[in-house]
Amino acid sequence: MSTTAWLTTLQFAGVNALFALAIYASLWTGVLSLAPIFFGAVSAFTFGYLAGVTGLSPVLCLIIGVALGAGLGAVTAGLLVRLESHYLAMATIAMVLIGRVVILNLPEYTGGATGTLVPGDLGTWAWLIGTLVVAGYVMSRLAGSRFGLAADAVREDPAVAQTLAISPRRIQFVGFMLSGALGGAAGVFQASFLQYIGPDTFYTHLGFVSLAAVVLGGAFYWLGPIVGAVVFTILPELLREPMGEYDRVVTGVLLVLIIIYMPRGLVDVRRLRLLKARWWRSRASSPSDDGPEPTDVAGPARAEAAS
Amino acid sequence: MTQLLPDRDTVEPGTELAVDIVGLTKAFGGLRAVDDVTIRVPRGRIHGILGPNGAGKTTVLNMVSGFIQADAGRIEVFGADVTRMQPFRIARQGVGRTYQNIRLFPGLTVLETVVAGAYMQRSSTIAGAILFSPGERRERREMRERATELLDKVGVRAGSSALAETLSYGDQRRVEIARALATNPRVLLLDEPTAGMNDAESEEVGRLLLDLRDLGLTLILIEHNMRLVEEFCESVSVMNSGALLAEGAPTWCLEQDDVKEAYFGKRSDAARIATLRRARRGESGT
Amino acid sequence: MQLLAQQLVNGIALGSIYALFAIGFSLILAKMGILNVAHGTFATWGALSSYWLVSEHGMNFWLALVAGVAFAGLLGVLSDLLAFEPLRRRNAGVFAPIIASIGIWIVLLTLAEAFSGPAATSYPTESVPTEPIRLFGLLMLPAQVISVITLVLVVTAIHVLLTHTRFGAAVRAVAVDPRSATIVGVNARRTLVTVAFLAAAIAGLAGILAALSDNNVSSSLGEALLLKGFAAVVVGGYGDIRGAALVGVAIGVLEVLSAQYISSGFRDAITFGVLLLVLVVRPQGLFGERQLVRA
Repeated sequence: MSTTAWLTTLQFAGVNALFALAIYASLWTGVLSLAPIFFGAVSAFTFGYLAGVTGLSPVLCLIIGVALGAGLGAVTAGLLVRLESHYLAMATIAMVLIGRVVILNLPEYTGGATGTLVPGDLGTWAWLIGTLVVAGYVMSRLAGSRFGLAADAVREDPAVAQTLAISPRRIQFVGFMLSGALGGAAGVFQASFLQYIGPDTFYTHLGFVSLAAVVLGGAFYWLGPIVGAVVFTILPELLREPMGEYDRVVTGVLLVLIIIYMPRGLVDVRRLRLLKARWWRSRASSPSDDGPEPTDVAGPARAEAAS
Repeated sequence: MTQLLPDRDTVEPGTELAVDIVGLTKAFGGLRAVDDVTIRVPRGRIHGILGPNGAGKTTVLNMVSGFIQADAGRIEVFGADVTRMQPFRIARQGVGRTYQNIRLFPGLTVLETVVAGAYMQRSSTIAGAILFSPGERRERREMRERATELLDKVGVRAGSSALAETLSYGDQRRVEIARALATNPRVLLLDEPTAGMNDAESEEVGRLLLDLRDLGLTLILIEHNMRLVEEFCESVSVMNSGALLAEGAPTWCLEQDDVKEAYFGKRSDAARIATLRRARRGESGT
Repeated sequence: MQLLAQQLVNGIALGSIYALFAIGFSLILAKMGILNVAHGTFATWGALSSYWLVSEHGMNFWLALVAGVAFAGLLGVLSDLLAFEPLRRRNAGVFAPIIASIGIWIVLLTLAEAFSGPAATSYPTESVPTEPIRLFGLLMLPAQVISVITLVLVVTAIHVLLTHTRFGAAVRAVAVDPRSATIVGVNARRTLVTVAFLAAAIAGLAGILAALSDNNVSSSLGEALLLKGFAAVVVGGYGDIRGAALVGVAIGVLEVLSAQYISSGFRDAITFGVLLLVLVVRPQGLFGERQLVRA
């Protein structure tokens, strides 16, 4: 692969990271949602329409896209957050599938089946990295904040969270808004890099890759989706030569394998903490010995089995 | 059915009731898990709920904290009717609790677990967290300090940066108590707080209960450790097959024949256990 | 009037296919607790495999139909053995099976796209009679009649199987709690695998009938069915397969009528509008008995 091809791939890895962070934002509050793909579609087509018809500046469009995404997230949460988790997940998948139908049937705004051309002003490294840094900063500040700990509690055990005076629906509502804002930004960037959007731009494939990125990278810490997105965007490119059109099969197989054998993903803070505890214990029990004793190895493993 | 000591009613008139459970009933399918149960606990009391497994004790606690909707009856907490409230609203009325099967959050450290409990004690916003505001940072610091104090108070020995789920059984129970205390409750519901602990540890929990009571908390606990109940509970309700069997002072309740029979099965067993109990009391009385 | 009656007939025939698909989908959701989004690809593969047998190997259509249904069922069994069973053994929570089923969806969809190629194809015209049947002045294609009859047979068979047989009792026991079911002598593994086979095989059947009615075998056939099936299960409630089947038929009628009298472009949008409305207003479904709203 040439250097330019690599750079293009990395740019899309960045956009996928934004989508993955958007999925992570609602997963953090215990909701599996592909709605960010839909939010991204709405903001991208709004961007295309505004930039094309009214000549609005792309930066303003990005801000509008983020606000629109957050607003849509709020509306979605208001309507759907009462649903049982299976139905909620399927309803957000349905949103993605319905989005395509709507795009196809509104040709005067979306270009219908032929799609729309959009300006590529924001399709630069500076804008992408800047946005990713802001998103990463926001997520890292939220981790451990009042909202962040409440979100952790709601994801791990909503009933117990309630007895700590936390309202799960309120937390999930905020999660959806956050998810919408990130999805909206991601949609605008996807459009800017492609400079063309059509009915298949924001469809199941994008949703799958973003979700796979979250699952592989780790759905329990904000760095996970970013790492996962980079891996899951580059991997198919590497596989394209030996595997041809079957490269996506690897994505699917990996998704199944990871969820079975590595359910907490690559960036797993819990495992790091377990390893740290084991290391400290081995230091404490055998100060003169370099190697950990067998009992120390069994300790955390037993705790893990019991949990 | 319910036996009351005529000369020593559990609630003197005029005292403020912390928890007032009247005629509580819940059926699962055809089974009456809780049948017309009335438990009134005045403020500042340590009240025990006793009974054999399957008596409906945990179901009562689950109804008080709002996990299960009662079929009939009323639950009031400091005069507020919480019978049909959502659990988080009941928690905001000042009801905290722990669980029989410990329910800590996987992946969180001891400190994070306790700070998570202080949700309503905090006022910072998402904007404050993102904008790195001094108020938000000060609040985080204060929360950590307060959590450390609470962990100290309940006697957790492990480091606060350890994963809560890796602690010893006793420490996990204590972290749960600290997490519940972080919500600043007026009423604390404890579901078998000493299960899996040895005598010395149980004794510590008992003393913690007294401390908390002296701080103004009302405590309701489900407990199987009779020595602890007799030593620390001021009043008890005994349940069997969903119904209230007796209530009053612990020693008096445990002497009742039908209580003994319900609790220990056959009368002969009951007699043996009573002897054992007396022997142990004599031993610890030194 | 004549037109309305004719469109009703068309709608019922189309809806029968949706209903058929919804039965399998709700079976897995209700009895195994798995939201299997790969269910649509089972339908796709049922159609693709039977098409391959008919067109490449000249197999008799009806034999190919049986083989296609069996192949779809086999995919369902494989999914259960390779993905859902390991997760079940690990007590992996609610989201893990959904994520795994998305993985299966990706694999089967990619393979289907590669296998079918871009060109639209259809079963050879001599597979099934195409001469319309005339009844009370209404026209019915043989494929439509087959769809409706198949639906009636399958709904009856599955309903009887679940409510009146030992196997049905075993399925109910396993649905409540696989471990206790094992204690009372139910072979939980075999029961689950059988349900997985049945559900996927019915999806394959729906896929073949959809391809036959549309005169189009394509790799995206399953996606459309997935949405309609989901809508039918949501609106009908998943406690009873008859509810989902009834709503599946109703969705078909609604689609055909709205295409005729409102706008053909927004045919799907109207269905999804109804879906969204029911999700918001009555999340337990029209005939729902199970609690689907979180307490």
